[in-house]
Amino acid sequence: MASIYQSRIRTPNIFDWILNHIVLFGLFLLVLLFSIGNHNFLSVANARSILRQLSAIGILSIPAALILISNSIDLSLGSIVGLCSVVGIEIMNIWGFYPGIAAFILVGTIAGMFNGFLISYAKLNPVIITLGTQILFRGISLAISKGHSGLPSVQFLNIFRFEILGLRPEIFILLAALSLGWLVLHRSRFGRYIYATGENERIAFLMGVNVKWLRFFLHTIAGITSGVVAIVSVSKIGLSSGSLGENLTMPILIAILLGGIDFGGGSGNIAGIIIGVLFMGILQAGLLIIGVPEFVQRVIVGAVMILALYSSSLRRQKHQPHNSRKESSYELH
Amino acid sequence: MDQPIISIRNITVTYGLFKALDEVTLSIPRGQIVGLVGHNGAGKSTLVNAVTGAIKPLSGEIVIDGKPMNYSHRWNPLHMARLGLRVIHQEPSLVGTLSVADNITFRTDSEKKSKKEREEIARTALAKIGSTIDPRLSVSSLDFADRQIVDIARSLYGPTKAILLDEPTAALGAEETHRLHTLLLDLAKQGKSIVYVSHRLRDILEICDRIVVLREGHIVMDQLNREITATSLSEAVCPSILQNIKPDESRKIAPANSVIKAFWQGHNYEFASGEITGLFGMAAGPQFDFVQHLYGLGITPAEVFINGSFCKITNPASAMKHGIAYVSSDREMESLFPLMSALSNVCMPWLNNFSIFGFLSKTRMSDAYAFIKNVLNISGPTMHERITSFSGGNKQKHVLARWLMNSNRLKFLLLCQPLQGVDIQARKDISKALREASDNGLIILVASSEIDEITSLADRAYVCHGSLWKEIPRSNEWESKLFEALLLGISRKES
Repeated sequence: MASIYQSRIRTPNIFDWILNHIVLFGLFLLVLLFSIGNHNFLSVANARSILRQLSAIGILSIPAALILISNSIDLSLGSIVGLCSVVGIEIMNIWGFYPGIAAFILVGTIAGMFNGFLISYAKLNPVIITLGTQILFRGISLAISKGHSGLPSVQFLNIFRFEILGLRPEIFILLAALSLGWLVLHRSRFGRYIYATGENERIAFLMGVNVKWLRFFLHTIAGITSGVVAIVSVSKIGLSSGSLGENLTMPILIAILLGGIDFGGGSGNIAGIIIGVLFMGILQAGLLIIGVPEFVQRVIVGAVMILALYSSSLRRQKHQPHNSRKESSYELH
Repeated sequence: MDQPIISIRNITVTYGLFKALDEVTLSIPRGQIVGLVGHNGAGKSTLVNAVTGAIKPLSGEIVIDGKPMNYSHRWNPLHMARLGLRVIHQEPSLVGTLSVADNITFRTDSEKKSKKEREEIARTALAKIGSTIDPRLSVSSLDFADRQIVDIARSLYGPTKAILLDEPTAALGAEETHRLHTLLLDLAKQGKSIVYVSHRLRDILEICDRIVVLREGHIVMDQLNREITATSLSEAVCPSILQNIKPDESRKIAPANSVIKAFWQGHNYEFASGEITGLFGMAAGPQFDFVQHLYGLGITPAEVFINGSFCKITNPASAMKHGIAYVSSDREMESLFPLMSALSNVCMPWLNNFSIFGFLSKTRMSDAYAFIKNVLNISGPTMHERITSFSGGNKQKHVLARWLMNSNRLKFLLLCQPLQGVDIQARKDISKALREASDNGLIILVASSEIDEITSLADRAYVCHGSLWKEIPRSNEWESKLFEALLLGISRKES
């Protein structure tokens, strides 16, 4: 059997390597293009500002990626951020700083649990249901804020205005999220269960994994993280608003798809997510810096989304094991 | 009349490197009922799918009533149906929400006719096969046997010259089977050719004029029914040459230090450590339902006594907690994670034991893997390679390695078809490892529809049909006794 095995597996060549790291090449290309377009693009200050801007996407991409690996999806994270900011600041202005912070996290937790319950236990389709909760949460936050922005207390703004080594606190939260994500995905038992559930729910169940609870838990974690991102965003912008986080969901999805996490679950790693997030952050910041009009930006981001999905589907086909039973069970008539 | 209705010439079908059919040639004359039998994976379904156009063969041609189809033609089910070839699957392929009339005229020229006309067409089509089902009913309101009749009526509507039936009786009772057989004999008299694919040798012997046996993609026997006996047929399906691995007959059965009692469909069964119990039955038979029930996959929770203490098993997690492990017969869909490494695949159920505060210990995992790799004699690439880069036999070894690597934590191992798709050497390795585990106090159950799996692994065996299970101890000519018990057990029950 050894000879058969060898003839089946082609030794990878340089083209395969380039294909496998196409996003990394795209990233270099992007940096090159933007630095030609604007000479100030390659500067420490600009790098710092880009990092700051992509922190929200970066932090949220970790739980979003875990969810996608477990073969679920959450499209409502941006709306949860908005809801947390509105409720959190409202409560902070009534009862003070600490209850406010607790409200940020608690609202995120409840929203995440709500998603998780509907997906895991009510067995609803995650794409459709989080599209629904996306509108629901956004509606609630707009209704509470009545379209007005909320002003956080000075105490709140001061707490998040420190810098260490010239880096803002959100950068450290981002680093913490990445390291936690790495630990969970690549070093922990729970991470193995996430991959197993995503790849084949049935086998994971047969191996004694509590698949329902696992997805419920992941959605809850995503909700909590949304609360954290809401705190960071409000402290960055200086006000809360019902429409906060409106432009978060899609960039997160594009970033993790570019990062090698496929629809259908079971694949992907942290290195890929970092590259995907950097790509997305640099693309958004770069387009602004070289002065591309807003509507053209949308065209480009949409095109990147399609490319990301296409690359994900290509990968999926490549990884699909040879499976004769799928061909033979081809339905007749 | 001399020209055959279906003439299959040198059909070869490959799945990757695996040849499912190798230059198969077969011709079926008008009005003949041909039985097609063979093991799982012998190529029966592949042949049916190739002939009906669902899969395109690598080479060869099919001539249907003088009209040839070869590789260059449109090879699809609709085209084959237009030529007069229809297939009936185990599951009737009907649209449940549509009415009987809509289903019968679905994708035919009458599709555009008015509702009244179509109902009339359906009524005549059903009357032709002696059925009085109301064509206005929705298919989802019919029972299984009626659906099958509608499916047959549908396949007879139009220029049908030949019908292929793929395991048509698998879900039918004795009475319904009899009705189907009368109908088929009647159709044969009308000049339709019929290909009847089945695992049930008794059905085949009952109605077929001619029997064709497939094995590993070749036709190994093609004889008229009257020249065939049940023994020669079972010999052709599964020759005793393949059964050359036997447990050591003189082996002493270790004293049982662990006993499991289970209750199933009105009977008590007891399994003890030190011996491997076989459960032999038809493909998709009750033996598989039983082991799945024991693993908590049934509708009701399983209630078993493990060494005298009562355990209720509601799901796989609780089964594992009580030391019960299960190997599905579906290796690709229910056992292995194709994107994961061999190591991750094997360690999956034991991550609790391989982690410290929730974090995995690579050394513990690879030590355990190295141990089980030796026991099962696993060969192939390294443990960090994807499981898909291993050969079939080694994949199956990994499936078993998953449980055997920590067999001292298990009490009860349930196996479904553990030797399927495995070559002789791997079979030997696996039976040796199972034997060792059994001697060390593991209770092992082997559920299978393949007789050689039972005879090469088990010390004693139950023949399972319906709720009536019969124990047959190992003896001389064990396999023929088991086979006979299965065939006779059914005939006694049904006639």
